[in-house]
Amino acid sequence: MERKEIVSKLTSVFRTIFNDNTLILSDELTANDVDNWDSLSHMILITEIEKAFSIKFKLKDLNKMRNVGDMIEIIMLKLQPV
Amino acid sequence: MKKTIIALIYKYLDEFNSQREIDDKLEKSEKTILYGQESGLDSIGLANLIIKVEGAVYKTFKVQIDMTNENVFSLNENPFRTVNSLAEYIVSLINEKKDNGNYSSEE
Amino acid sequence: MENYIIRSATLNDVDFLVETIIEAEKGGSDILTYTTLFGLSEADAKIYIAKMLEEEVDGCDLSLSGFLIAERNREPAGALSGWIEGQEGVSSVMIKGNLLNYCLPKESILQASRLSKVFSELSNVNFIPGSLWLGPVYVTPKHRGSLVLAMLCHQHIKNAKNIYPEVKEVFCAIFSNNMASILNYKMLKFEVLKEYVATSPEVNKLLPSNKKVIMHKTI
Repeated sequence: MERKEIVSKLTSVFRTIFNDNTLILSDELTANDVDNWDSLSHMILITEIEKAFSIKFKLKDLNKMRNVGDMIEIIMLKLQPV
Repeated sequence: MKKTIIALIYKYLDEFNSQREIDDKLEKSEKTILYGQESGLDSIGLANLIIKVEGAVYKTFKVQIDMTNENVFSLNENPFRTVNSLAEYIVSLINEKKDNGNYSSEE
Repeated sequence: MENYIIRSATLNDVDFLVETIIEAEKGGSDILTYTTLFGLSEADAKIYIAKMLEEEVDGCDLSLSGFLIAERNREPAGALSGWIEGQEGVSSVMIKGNLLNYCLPKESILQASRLSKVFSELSNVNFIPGSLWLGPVYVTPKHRGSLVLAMLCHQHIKNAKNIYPEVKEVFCAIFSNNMASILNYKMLKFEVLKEYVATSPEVNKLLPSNKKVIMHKTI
């Protein structure tokens, strides 16, 4: 899957979780930048991302995600054929 | 100064006692225990005592003291143990402020 | 003072830390959010909380490394969690969310997802990077009225300043029904910075209180 496609799909997930159709993702985006992004919504966000991309993150992968940019990179790695 | 401070502590005990059953009231005595399991004060009672007595000390002596500053926990003797030890501790805090030039009123 | 010692938590303390987190979550009420939000029994919640602590992830209020324990005569008297926000380069919100996602059962996550919309007004706590945050705190009944929270708080501040001399502020977030914590922090010269209120009447079935206060002190 191309990066553009991943961003598009991820944007859709973010907009649903945070109930904001105007939300635009950037590589630097973090929890501090989005209203209602707390630990509960982050927990749900990760579940929905795993579902959307049919992947499963390891905890060490998750804890490398400083921002959305890192999230996209890790998703790309997960989607690469083994 | 110590007598005045003891009176301030007793004033708080009056307030505390006004909301307690007879058997749970604290005696207004210098030996009354304020700290720990033997005391009739719980966490809220002790915190309230410290907050209110600090406020009363400020009103009376125009000196801002901080009874729970980090240094108090390195002391060998516990100044919060009894009414008497607390009053002596408060005197020492006020005098310390006086020595540092932060005391601006006669008692 | 009074022979209390303050030390860092280890894996041997997991049981006491689980008790700490459970009692802190209840905040003096009977409501446990692991039950009301996630649908877990208290017994199951303890298992999952232990699992999260044992992951030994740093940087949030479920980090074992962030807990200090007050002990007297080798008996735990209390514990308090603390962390420097963003110390790992990742926000504590994301670290905790990752732990919850990784360790809790999927059906619990789905249930919480449905229910959490009810108190979204409490979700906008601004965790300022580089500041010290104090989290779950618990003092055993036997040791209440002994300034244990004060000792733990002072040690957290001292430790934070030793490792990160540029730390200037300390914060905590407390449900407003938890008068013991609020008064103890006030006694330590914390001030209420902000209050968050959730307006839905359903909140009181899910959380110990519909109000959360952020308290703050410059250090």
